Amino acid sequence: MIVVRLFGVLAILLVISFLTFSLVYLAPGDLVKNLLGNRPASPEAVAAIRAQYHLDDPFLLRYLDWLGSAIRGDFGQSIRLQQPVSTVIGDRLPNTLALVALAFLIALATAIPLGILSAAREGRFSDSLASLLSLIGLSAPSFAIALLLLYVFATLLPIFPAYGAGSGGFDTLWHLVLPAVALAAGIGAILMRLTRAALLRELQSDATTFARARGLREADVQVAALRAAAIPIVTSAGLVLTFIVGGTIIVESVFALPGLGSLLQQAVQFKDLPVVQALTLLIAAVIAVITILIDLSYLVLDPRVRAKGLNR
Amino acid sequence: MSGTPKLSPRTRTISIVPGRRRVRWGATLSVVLLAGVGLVALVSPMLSDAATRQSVLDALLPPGSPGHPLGTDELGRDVLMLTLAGTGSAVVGPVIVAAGSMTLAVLLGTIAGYVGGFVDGVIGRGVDVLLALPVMLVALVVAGVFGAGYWVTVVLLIVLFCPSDIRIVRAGVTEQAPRPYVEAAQMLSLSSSRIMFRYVVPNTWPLILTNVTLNVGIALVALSSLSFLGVGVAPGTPDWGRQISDGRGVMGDNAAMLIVPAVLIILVTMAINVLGDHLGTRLRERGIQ
Amino acid sequence: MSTSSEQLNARGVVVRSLAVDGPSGPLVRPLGFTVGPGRTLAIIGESGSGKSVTARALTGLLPRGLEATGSASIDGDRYPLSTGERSAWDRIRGRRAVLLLQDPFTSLNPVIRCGAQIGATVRARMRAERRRVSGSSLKLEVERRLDEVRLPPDVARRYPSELSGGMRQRVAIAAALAAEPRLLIADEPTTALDASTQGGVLDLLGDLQKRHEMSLLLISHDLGVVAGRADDLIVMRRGEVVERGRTNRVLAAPEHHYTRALLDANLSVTDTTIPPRPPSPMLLTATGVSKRFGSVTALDAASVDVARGEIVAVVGESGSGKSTLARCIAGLEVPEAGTITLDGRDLPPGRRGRHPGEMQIVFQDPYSTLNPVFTIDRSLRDALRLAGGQTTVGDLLELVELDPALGSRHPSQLSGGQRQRVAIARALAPNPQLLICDESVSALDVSVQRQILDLLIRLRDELDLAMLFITHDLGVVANIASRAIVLQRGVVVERGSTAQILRAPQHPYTKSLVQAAEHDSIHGASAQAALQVRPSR
Repeated sequence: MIVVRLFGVLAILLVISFLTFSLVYLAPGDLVKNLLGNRPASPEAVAAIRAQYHLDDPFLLRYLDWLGSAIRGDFGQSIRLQQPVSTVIGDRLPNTLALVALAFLIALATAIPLGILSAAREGRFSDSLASLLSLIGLSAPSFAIALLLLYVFATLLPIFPAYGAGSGGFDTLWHLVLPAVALAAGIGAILMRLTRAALLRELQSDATTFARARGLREADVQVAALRAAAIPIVTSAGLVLTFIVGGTIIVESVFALPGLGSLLQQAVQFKDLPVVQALTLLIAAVIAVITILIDLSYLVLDPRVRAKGLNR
Repeated sequence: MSGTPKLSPRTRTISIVPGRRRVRWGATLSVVLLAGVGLVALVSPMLSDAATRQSVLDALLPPGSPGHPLGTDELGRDVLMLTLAGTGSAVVGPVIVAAGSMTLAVLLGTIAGYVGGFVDGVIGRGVDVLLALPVMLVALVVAGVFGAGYWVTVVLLIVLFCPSDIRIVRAGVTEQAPRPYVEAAQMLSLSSSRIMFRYVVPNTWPLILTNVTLNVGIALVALSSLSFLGVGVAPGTPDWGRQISDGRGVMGDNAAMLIVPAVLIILVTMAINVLGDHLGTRLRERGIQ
Repeated sequence: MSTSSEQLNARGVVVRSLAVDGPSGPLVRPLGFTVGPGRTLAIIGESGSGKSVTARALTGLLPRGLEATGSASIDGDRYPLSTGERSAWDRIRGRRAVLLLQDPFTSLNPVIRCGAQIGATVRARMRAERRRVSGSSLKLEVERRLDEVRLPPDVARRYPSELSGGMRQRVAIAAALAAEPRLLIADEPTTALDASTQGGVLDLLGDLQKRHEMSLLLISHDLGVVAGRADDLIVMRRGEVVERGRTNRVLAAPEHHYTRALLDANLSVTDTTIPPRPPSPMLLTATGVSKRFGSVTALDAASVDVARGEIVAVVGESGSGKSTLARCIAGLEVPEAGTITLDGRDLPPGRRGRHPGEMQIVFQDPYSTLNPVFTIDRSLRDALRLAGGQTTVGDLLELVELDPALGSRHPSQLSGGQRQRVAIARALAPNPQLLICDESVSALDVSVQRQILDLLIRLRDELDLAMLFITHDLGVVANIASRAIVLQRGVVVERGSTAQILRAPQHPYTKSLVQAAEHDSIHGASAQAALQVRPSR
């Protein structure tokens, strides 16, 4: 079962790699001109570039060539930065990883307890308040939240720094707080709703009624319900992680964080296509890995799925 | 497959929807807000001229200035007019995206779910590929690299929203398809298209309507995020996302330029979500009866 | 009054003026009853009678929106039923009363091992008794509880999903009894189980009740279940008690006409009065029909034939392949092998190339058998569209004894029985030669079942219809079919006349089915019920 899934994911990655390569092929503008930049377009220089980038080879051959190097980790040169794409990405990866990790932690630490509280106190004031909070988080675009946070906590009340990634260590963490909160708001809202729904479903299940009916303590009843609800909660947490990946583009742009998201935005803006290709493929691969992990988590967590998986 | 009858008393229990009064109250407020915004959106093309009138002398006036209740931007454009004129691109595009993608999805998702087999496989794999990447990322890359304008971006979003809609419609259809009323229609040798679009689709209507509504909100966020990143709307056009992006530079002089459209986006999306949730609950309740 | 002090010391259960109100009016009108220790009271009623709500009200587990009033006392411990306070119920639930639910597939927590779920009840009881429990004694206690319900100790390490329905219900019973309650309320404890496992679970419940001197409140829709198992009986209808008394007396001489109707409707197995039919030419012949779903063989070379004007039953439990056979014949499922001949003509597998006038199906579930968005009129007009002819929607509704004015209604505005009549009308619209009934009456209340069966027999007589009747219920077979085949795991294990199969079953599987059904049929009433069966032509 898992092996089939793995091949499916690999096939999808292959299709995406082909699509991203075609994108560059179809993109308007002259690649040679872009590559030459300000240098004079002498016939020799043009010929050299055409040879270097194999521009005269047939399309399919160029794709296979590119794919071959990409698998080895070589995505060519960034046109804008004149550095290998892998170096450019490597430099910015730690910032984005730290941002994603912090945002994910904030979302988990707030949304899951809030969702549990909301379900346990269904219909009461605290549930309404939590639902309102999640509605705001769900509705507000991350750039709007980011800018409002920036305005309030960096301009009006200068507690947090407004821009950049800081000088490493604690300073960087301090710089990441506002962007991480902005990023966590939306996904936290989704996670909170899913947690609430999952737990509510369990609390209203026959199993919960039967547990109450045989005199189990309410605390034990709720813990048992939470154990059953943990499966959808964990998997939705994984799902939410894939949403974060898309959200970094906007948040990093707002806070001028030198990460992969802002790199992608700039690469699109300056038509730095090798970088666009590499990042798109990288993000697709990361998301693919996350979805496989979600599937595996079912296998670990759910005895029903486990029994089925072993029978096959 | 059939076994002993289940006379579970719980299948028809009466449960009172939590916070029902709050939801109704919120839904009413949402409708009022959305109606107002919709009206402004209708007349917004007429405001375009007034909104883009520049005057260097009046640049960067703070909110509350005479004649400019929300002040002006660095080009001397009136922020209130700019915000009102931006309503059009904020609202019209998302509605078209939501309706367009769902129309496409009803066609493809119903065929995939009802016919099944090879057709389902082909549509399913296409959906898998499109869902492998975040919508925002693909929209940014494709629209950005090709320098797409507003309407091309809208069409792009229709395509990108379609896969998740297809999944929803397909799930609804595969849930309906094995039901006896559908099989009874098959026994009567009614045509497949008749069964699909007269029998099955009308019964997934609650699902479709709820998702179209919620998708308007998601599309609004997506489109304004894209124009915030400089994709989709040409520079100088009145547009909330664009305005927020421009407002970053003048935050110290006229914060209203940024805050007003940001709050508007949040409020309109909230209203849409409240309405969508309300519709979903209402239609589900009616379905149970 | 002296009675109150008497009742304070009384052992057993006393319930006084229990009533339940819902948002749209009363669900249960005030009722009272007593159940002595070691005795069983059965509450019988069809869906909507208020019997399950009564069961839940006693343990404070009503769905939200319902309010209970009245009081109960268990072994002298009196408590109000109206309280919403959780702590008040802590005293009652578990040690005093436990509610056992209908569906063993949902009443156990799927991610917790069975042993731990039984152990949780033991812990709760120990805590209430302020006793400590060590890990090893807990394990022993769990094994003892499993042994009590005749399950091996290794079940403790299994998850519910690894067990069959009958085993799950045994685990649930063990978990319930681990609380050592004085009152066990069993709400339709075997309705979700197959007929051959039902009896075992009910007998087990009876044994355990006697051993622990518990009071047992048995809630059921099925009079057959309570015969010989309950001491006393309450019959409920629409929230009201219509009859009560000793079980033997009520079954032998019911006073209320509703009870009598229920008894009449409880179809008896052995007294079949449908004579074998004189040989006539076969209309349908299905031979060697096989169907697999993935690696599961649903149907293995099954054959059946039906003559004009004849009703043939296909009998089996869930998973026996009986519905698959019907669906293969109807073309809703494409079989891997086999031929289907109707009126001398070979039919193609699948629906393509079939004609609506050949055969039609009436399905089981009356709630989804009609398109919810269509009016009755619109549904029937669609059915008449391809048939041609002069028949009108009104004619169809009259044929199934429905008021033609119902045509303007939506299915949600009809009762289950009315919907099933409309479904029959729709099936008859194209004037089919063969009518397939796939468990067509099993989702209906027993009193309505009877009427639909009578309608089908009348239609068979009037229209000279051939019918293939798929059912798990031998009582239904006895009262409608002249021949039957028995399916077990996709294989036809026995075939013959109904009388032959019910009176002298040959195959062990058929024997076990007939035995289980005989136990459930009410002997006192059976002769009377059988006499009222409309004789076949």
